[in-house]
Amino acid sequence: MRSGFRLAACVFSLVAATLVSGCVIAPVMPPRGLIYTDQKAPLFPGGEDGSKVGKSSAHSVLFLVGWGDSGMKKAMENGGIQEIRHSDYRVENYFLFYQRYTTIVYGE
Amino acid sequence: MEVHFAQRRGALAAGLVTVACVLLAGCSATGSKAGIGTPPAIIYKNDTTPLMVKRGDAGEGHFPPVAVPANLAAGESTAYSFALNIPGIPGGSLMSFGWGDMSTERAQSNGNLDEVLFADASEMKILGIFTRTKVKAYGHPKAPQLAGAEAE
Repeated sequence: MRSGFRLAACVFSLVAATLVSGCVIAPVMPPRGLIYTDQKAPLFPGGEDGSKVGKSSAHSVLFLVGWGDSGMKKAMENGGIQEIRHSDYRVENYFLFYQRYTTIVYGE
Repeated sequence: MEVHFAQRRGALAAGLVTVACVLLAGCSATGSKAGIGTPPAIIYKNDTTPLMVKRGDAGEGHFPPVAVPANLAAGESTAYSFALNIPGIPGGSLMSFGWGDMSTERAQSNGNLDEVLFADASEMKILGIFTRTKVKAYGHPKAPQLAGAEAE
């Protein structure tokens, strides 16, 4: 019986790690946390920041439903940016219940 | 004997959950492997993520400032997939179909863009069965006379 629990725990960890990690192709991807994650990292790194910041977000609840526009265009619109100089991304995970991905664009 | 049966049943259930999650929400099922993958969603997903920004001559890993023109134009290209990724049905992923052209080149052509400055990717997925993936490219529109000359 105990081995069954161990197996279930291993499978849960594997699945959770797969779900949380997603498919990231970015210059830097810090290690994610299963219970809590709040990390920022470069997305399209530029040589300089700008005076304006625009953000756009996509959300997911319980890995069941996902929605939102976290695209570059939306972030630029939200920040009133006409020149992209640098961009970061932010990943948040709250105990696998809620995840948010945010694109952050810096520019003028 | 009962314990042995319970263990086998637990292992089978765990295996099914794993397979279902990988098939429904894993990297192979997201459709868009470029850019940043948003968290997967098993029931319904409709979101947009950054795909690319024009890379200048400044070298790898460095993106020069990209000035966005006032007359920014956009073009889209779309690909679809249909797969019977239903949990509990072994080999469901084998019954899958995919079609469409979601290349940046196609989006550039559809939007009549002279140059792509940046692009987003959007994905709409229902139960992992139907997926529509789009590339939205933004950039300078072609000059009218240039577009006319190419058409000839």
